[in-house]
Amino acid sequence: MIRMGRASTAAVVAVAALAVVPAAAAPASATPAPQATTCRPLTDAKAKAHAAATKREATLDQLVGVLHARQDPFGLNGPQATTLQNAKAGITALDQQIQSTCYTAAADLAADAAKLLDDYRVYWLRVPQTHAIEAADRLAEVRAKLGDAAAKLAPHVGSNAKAATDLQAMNASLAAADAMLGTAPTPAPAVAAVTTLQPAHDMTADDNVLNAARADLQAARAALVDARNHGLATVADLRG
Amino acid sequence: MRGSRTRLIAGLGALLCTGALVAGCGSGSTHATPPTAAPTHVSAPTSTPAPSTTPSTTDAAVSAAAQELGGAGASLDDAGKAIDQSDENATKGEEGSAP
Repeated sequence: MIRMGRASTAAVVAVAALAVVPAAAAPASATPAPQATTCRPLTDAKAKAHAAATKREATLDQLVGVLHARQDPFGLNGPQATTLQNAKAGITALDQQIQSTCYTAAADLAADAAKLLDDYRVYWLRVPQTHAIEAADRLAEVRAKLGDAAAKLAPHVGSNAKAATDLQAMNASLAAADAMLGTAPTPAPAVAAVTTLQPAHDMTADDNVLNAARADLQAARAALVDARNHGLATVADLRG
Repeated sequence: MRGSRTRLIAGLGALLCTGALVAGCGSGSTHATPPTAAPTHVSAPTSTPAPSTTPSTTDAAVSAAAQELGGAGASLDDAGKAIDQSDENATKGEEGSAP
């Protein structure tokens, strides 16, 4: 049996103490033990976001088709179509991001999905904006037809006093329409302002511009209706 | 005999000259001379009438204008629909309730 001296015994105890290293004493620079990272499936929320994106992409395609079918007398349709196509690309990219992101919290997915509404405003802005541009395009087409009709009638009014009066009224209505609509290729200010609108969280300012443009378009249309009626009266006067 | 024939020819010439402007009638010539064409110079009118003022052109122009006016009616209807669709209150849907 080996008998250890008192000093040897103390050394053994010290070495034994060093061997017991509490885990908490590990140096700070070491990588902490990885915590569990769980991607929440959020299947329903992702599907809902994808449906919202797909619906908007289809609407934007439909709006581009509306513009491309027109003559674009004010030169507004082309730039608007480009804007819509860029919006569609942005929505497609956002949708892909949402579908491929590992969300650990539902609130994070909700925040990304909200961008589909706030950042693009397809239904609050792009739909009414595009149809305002379409309305201006259609009204310009009507204006051209009525102007042609007035020009055809003018040489034949002659001494027919009633025909002359009705034709004069027609031309006055055409001038009133021009003030609201503009004269191609220059749109009236309210119509031109519609094309500058951008998506926003607070849509108050955009709404004001849209409402002003719509009021002018309605007034222009009413003036053109009057002009057409006066033109028809002139035709009736000349046909006796 | 020669005198009778001369009188006959003169009588025939007189008949030819009746109511007609025939050169040589006044001279009593017994030889009918071929009539000369009357001068046909026509002075230019001071104002050229517009071709559109004739009844046929007026009817055509009025008909064409009527056709333009008719076509404008459908276009006005389409424009009205587009104006209605430019109302953001009718289109904003779920985006209108976004926080």
